[in-house]
Parts: sequence; structure tokens; C-alpha cells
Amino acid sequence: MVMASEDGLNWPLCAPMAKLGFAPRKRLKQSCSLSRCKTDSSRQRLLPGIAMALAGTAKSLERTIGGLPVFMHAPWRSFAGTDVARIPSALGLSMLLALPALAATDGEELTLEQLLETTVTSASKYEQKESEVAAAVTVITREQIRAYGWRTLAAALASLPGFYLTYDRQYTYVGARGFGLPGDYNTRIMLAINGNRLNDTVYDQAMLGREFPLDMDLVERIEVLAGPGGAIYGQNAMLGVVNVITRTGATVDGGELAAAWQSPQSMREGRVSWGKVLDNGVDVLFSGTGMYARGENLHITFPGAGPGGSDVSGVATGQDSDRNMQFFSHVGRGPWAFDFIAADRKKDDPYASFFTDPLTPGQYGQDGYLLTQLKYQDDFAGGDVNVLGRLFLGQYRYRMNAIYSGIPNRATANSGWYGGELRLLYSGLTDHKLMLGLEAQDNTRNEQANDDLSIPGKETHVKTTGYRVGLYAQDEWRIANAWSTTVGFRLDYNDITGTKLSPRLGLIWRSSPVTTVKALYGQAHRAPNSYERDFDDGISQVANKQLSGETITTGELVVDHRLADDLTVRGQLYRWNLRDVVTLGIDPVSGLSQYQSGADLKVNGIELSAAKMWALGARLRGSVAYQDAGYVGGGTPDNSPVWLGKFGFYTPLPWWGLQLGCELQYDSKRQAVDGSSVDGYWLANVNLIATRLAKGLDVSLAIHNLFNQHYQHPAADTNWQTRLDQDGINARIKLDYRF
Amino acid sequence: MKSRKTVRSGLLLWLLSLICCAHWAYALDLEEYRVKASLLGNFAMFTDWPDVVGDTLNLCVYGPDPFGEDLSSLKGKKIARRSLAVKRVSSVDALGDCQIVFISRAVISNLPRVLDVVNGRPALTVADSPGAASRGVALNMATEGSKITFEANLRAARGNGLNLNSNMLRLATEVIK
Repeated sequence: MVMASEDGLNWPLCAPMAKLGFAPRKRLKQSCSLSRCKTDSSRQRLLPGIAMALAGTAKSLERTIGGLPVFMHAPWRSFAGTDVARIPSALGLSMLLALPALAATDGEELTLEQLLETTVTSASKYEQKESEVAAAVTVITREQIRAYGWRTLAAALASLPGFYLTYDRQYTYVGARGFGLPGDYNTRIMLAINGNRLNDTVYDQAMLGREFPLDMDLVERIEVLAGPGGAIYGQNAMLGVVNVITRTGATVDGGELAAAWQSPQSMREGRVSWGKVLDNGVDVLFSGTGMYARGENLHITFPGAGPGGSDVSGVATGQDSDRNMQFFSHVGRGPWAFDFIAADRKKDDPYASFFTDPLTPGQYGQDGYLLTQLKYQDDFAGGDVNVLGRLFLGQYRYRMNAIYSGIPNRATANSGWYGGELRLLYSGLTDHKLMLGLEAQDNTRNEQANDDLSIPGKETHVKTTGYRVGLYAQDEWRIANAWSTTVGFRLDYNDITGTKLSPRLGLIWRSSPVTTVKALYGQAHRAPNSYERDFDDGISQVANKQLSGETITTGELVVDHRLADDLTVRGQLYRWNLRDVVTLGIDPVSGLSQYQSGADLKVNGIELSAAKMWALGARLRGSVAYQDAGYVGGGTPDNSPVWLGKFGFYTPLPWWGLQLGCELQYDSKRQAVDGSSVDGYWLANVNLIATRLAKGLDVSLAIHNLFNQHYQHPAADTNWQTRLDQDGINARIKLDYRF
Repeated sequence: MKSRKTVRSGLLLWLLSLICCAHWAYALDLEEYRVKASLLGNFAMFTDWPDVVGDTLNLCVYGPDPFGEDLSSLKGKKIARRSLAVKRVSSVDALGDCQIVFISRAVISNLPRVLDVVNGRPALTVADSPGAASRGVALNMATEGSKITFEANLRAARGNGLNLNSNMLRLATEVIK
């Protein structure tokens, strides 16, 4: 039961087991620079305040007088409003005005206007601007999520330069910089919630679509690091690191009810949340979400699925349903925080992936999570030392129901892990910020099973365990005023690929107050996961105990330039080299599928982006990315668009607290698994929010695929089809009520 | 003749000021939140408080306090017949008795909830988050270059029965009416 594909390899026609995938690697730790900001208690003494007065124009001085300076020393009062104000020389006046300020030593001695003329320094010790971090980091805020109406993490990521989506009606896959092999389960993206890794130990999967176990309404911000983060995060951090920071009791501060309807998918969704900082200082947040969507009734053709290899086609009625239940809780006090996440999502599969019976209801995949983390983070030694410690425990459960020739086939997987991490930051040395960390994870449960009812007694059980330990260190060194460097590495040891070193090097040059240039080098490794290495049912896939890991090495040049206070541009030029990418091949002995150390790839690309904001809250963001991905021996990888364009704009409107968000995205054509080309497309989305329409009530209307563009995504080689239809225009109405 | 003399003396003063003070011109740096704390005091001063407001103006910082000790100098400051008091609150439930509400950046996403509570009462909302003025905050501070600026939402202030002094409004970068 094999069929030949165009690349000459033979794929099993009947692959009843679970998921096929390409895999990734390790875990997340949030850099303090991204996750917290601490006010430096050190104070600069105010030097004589004459400077502002000198800087003032005649007009502004007039304002000072007219505006009556407040909180000023008595000498001020004697000058203001008297004949002194009529001294004809503004500059001379400036001298006079400055006199009292000579005695001033504190900000409150200054007038309103003087305050507005004062040069300020940002006091944050750990908070770094994106332009100062030795990495291409982007933060997506709750405000943006709300403004654009993003309902999935993937939709938020797709707004960033170089990121693109693929949806197969089971999972949403995120490709980065031209690399996103179809059906790869996002194994090369490290995903975390509050620093707690979500990638499981069987498939290494990052769940980024509706399957992400947290309601997007609970997201405070998303920190995205494009490129390898292996030097800090280890396994999985190959193409990017995504850390989702949740809201807390303090930021929910009461009760929330949300209800949403989406048509034509007949999606209904409800959420109830409650959060507070209690009188005893304990921060609590509880939230539950339920969602059900009937989905689309798609007309689908299944090539070769009929008798004698004929095509089957018809309407897959009621086979696209999606059901999701999510629970999140957070309890924190002082430096302590505890998160608990439980989620279960069941998605029907209209495309009958893994070559199951076409147009047959009752075929689905189901993903369950249970994630906990206890975290401690605090400062010592007057803020010079920051300690982060965390303990985590996670479980992931997968169930798949497939039907082959009318007979059910059940695939399951269970993954369990626990571990801890300790990280120290030391900023007591002048011009240095040192970081040292140790992380260990015990993979207690990697179980995969398949019960093929068509062969009585044929059951597959694969059980393994594993572990990994990572030690990392980093120094951010400010060499001179305009120059700084970041040097770091992570040394990982695991039971599969042994010892691996992931170095990181960054050089930052602030060539002017408005221009920053960064040169970045990084490397990351990923050990093959249990599914890639161990799964063996003797029918469709055989294990490969010799499977080695994969490596990515990247070099990047980033230029950030501020054209005006409210207008910034960024250019990125990069080169990625991926070696020994784990791909599905054929075992020469058995003739069956087997994950093997495959090809080497390289990607060269350039990204240009610009962001503008207006004082009253309107924001514009746009980017163009060109990415040229290719196999080292020649040939183009599947599902790799060369051009990506992103445009986003949102603005408050002057009526009824309305806010409008618009998005336009362009994805150029991608290659399908059969070598054919899947057309490029433009996608437009709009979102209109009415905030406080009534007391406590927000209402929003989101329209996705506004121009009803018919577009497709390439399918994985485990599908009957080579391309999969995506949803047309759809509209969602959402009510948010605070109580 | 008199005016020539005045000009000359002015010029002299200016030159003196240059000589004496030029080296200070580059050294005047204040910490961001020290300036913002002082601005808060000024905002309170330039607001016409209705009679229903008692003898104390409660300045409440909602959310994580970015000011630290910088606000302590405002405690007890006299604003006409009233004196300022400073409170830190972690829940909107405690905003009922606040006349000046500073919404810290970390909780700005909770602004609608704050407005649910304070709107219609004589409370002046202040923030330092981009776009907050157009979302209903009366005075919103921003950083332009290395200086602090502010936008005013007069409609929001008036909605709460507060008038903002026109001399202050003239210094605002934007005024929403």
C-alpha cells in the first residue's frame, strides 16, 4: 500500500498512526529584560535649572509667566506676574527666571513648562528597548490583539515580518523566514506561557491555532524572538521563541464575561473570568472558556481514494467541527507565582488526513494539556542580583480516531514531564550584566500507541523516557558608550544526542541617538523527539534509533533607525543554515517510512519594516520580507513563500469610543508537495470595537477575509490532497462585559 | 534711548548667563518619573475642582507604582484650600474616593474598567500610555525624544465636571475637545 510521489519516494498509503512531523527541541526562560521592569532607586540630583530657561523661546517664556509657575520657591513667586515679566529681552528674562531654580534641587520646584523642557532619563534597570536587545525581538501587546481582533496566537504571529501560516483543519502551522515544511507540527518553534514550555516530549509540538490552550483574551503580551534562541532556551528554539505573558488578577481586577458568535462557521464561544488582588496581597485569576464551531461544509476532492484509484469527491458535511475547553488559573504573592492550565480540544478532520476514509464523519484529533508552574523571582543585594527559580510539571495527551475501510483505528500518545530551572542575573559590575542558569527536565512519559482494529491482536505500544539538562551563561557588556556586546552559550546534555553547545554572539553599535546597528550570530540544536525516533508499528513507520539531531546556524544584520519620534524603520538581512533537518524518508531495509537525518537548507532573506504612531493612539505597521530558501544540493523546499507583505493600521474613531483595526497581508505562491505551485493571495481583515458602549460593555465586529478571497495552503504528504481550501469571508460578533 | 539701554542690559545678562551656565545646559537630567510626579502635581493645580470636593485631593496610583518615593514630595502639598494625599490602589473598587487617578502602564489595558468606576464623578484621570487620551483619559503623558509632553482630553475632563486651566492646555501637544 504505497504510492509514489513526484519526488520519487514511496509513501505509505495507509499510515494509521498518529502524526507525521518534522521535529525541533528545548525550553523557555524568559529574559528578565523582556518580562519585567524595575525602577532604579538611584536618583540623579537636579543640576541648576537654568538650562530649560535658556532653551525657552520668548513665546514659551511668556507662557510660563502667564501660566503661573507652581510649586516654586518663594523667589519665583516674587518674579512671576510682576513687572519683571515685561523685561523686553527674553534671553535676559531667562536668566532671571533661572535664578530661583539655582536653588532648586528637586523636580517639583519647577514650573509646568520647565518640566516639559526637562531632559529625562529612563530609570529602568532591566527593561531594555527592543533596539537594545541583542536579538530580533518583537512584543505584541494586548492592545494590538484587541485592536485587530486576533483570536489565535498564530494570527498575531502572522502580523510579523517573515512569519506565515498554514492550516490543515487540524492544526495551524507557523513558518518563519521561508522555512515551514508542511505538517511539521511547529517543532522548531519554542512556545511558552509565562516562561513555562508547552512543547510536549512526544511530538515537540507548539500549538499555535485554536489548539493553543490559553484564551487569547487572557494574553497580556506576546514576546517573539525571531531566529534561534538555543543559547538560552535550548530544545525547540530553532526558528523562533514565543513567550506568552498572561494577565493576572491585578490586570483583570474584577469579573469578565465574554460571548462571541461567528458565521458561517456557527462558532459560539463563552468565557467567564474573575481576578483580583485580595486584601492580603494575594493575586488570583481564574478563567474558563468553552467554544464550539460547526465548521464549514466543504466540497472536497480526494484524489485516488476511490475504487481502482479513482477520485472521490463530495461535500464533507459536519466534519469540520471544533470543540475547545480551557481553564486557566494564576495565584501569586510577592515574588511567588503559580500557574495552572488545563485544556482539551477536539477537531474533526474533513480532509481525512493520513489517508483515512474520505467523507466519513467521526474522524478527529484531540489534544489535552495540563500545565503547572511554580515560579519565584526576586531581587537581592539592592537590586544587583535577580533570582528566578521555577518548578514545572506538564502533561500532554493526544487521541486520534481514524477510519480505514470502515474500521476504526485509534492512535494515542501520552507525554509527561517535570523539571526545574534556576537563573541568576547579576548587574553589580559596571557595564556588565551577567546571567547564569541551569535547567533540567525529566521526560517521564513518552507513550505512543496504535490499536489497528482491522488486524485483530495488532496493537502497537512504544514507551520511552528521557531527560535533558542545560547550563547557560551570558554576559551583556557595554564596551563603550556606543558599543555593547552580548556573548552567551548554552551547553545541553540529553539522552539522545549527548552534549551540544549553542553559542550566541551579538554586537550592538548605537551609531547615533537614532540609529542602532546589530550584528548577530546564533546557533541552536534540536534532538529528535520520541515520535520521530521511536515510533514503530511495523506497518507504516519504523523507528530510527540512530537518528541524530538537527542544527541551525544564523547570521543577521539588524538596523533600527528612528526617522522621527513617532516613526521607526528596521532593516534585517540574514542568512540561515539548517543542517541534518529531520525529514520523513524510506528505510532501505523494510521499505517503510522512517524519520531520517535529511537535507541541509539555507535561507537568505531581507526584511524591511516601518512603524508609525500618532499621539492620539493611531498606529501603522508595515513590512515586506523577501526570503530565498533552498536545499543545499538544489531545489526549493515546500511551503516556502518568497514574498510576504504585512500591513496593519488601527485608530480610535471620534464617535462612541469606536476603534477600527485593519490588516492586509500578502503571501506569495508556495510549492506544494507534488512540486506544483499554490497561488499567492491577499488577505484583508477588519475589526471594529465599541468600547464602553454601555457601562461595562464592549462590543466588537471582526470580519476576516473581507474580500472573500479563495485561497489555499499546501498540504502535508500525509494528505490525499496537495492543497487545502481555507475559509472565505466570515464575521464574528463579540460582547465583553465587565462586572 | 531707554529701550536701547534695556536691550544692552538684556544682552549683557544673556552673555553672563551663557558664561556662567553653559556647562549646566547639558547636565540637566531628571529621572522620568520624578518629572512625571511633578507634572501630576501641576495637573492637580491647573484643574478647577468643584466645591463638592472636600479639603483633601486624593491622588491614587492604580496598578504597579512606577514613582516610588517620587510621589512622597507631593504629600500634603497645598492646592488652593485643599491638600494632596497619595494612595496606592490595586483594585478599581478603591477608586471611589480618588480625585486624581493615575493609571500605571502595566494596567492600562484595564482602562475601560477604571472609566466604568470614575466617570461621572469629579475625578481627573491621568496616564502615560500611548493613545490613552483618545481612549478617555483626561491627561496623558508621553515621551518625545527625551522630553515629557502631554495630551489633554477636555471632553473627558468636562464629562467629570472638571475644567482644565487654559494655560495648561496651551502646553498640551493635542487637545481633544
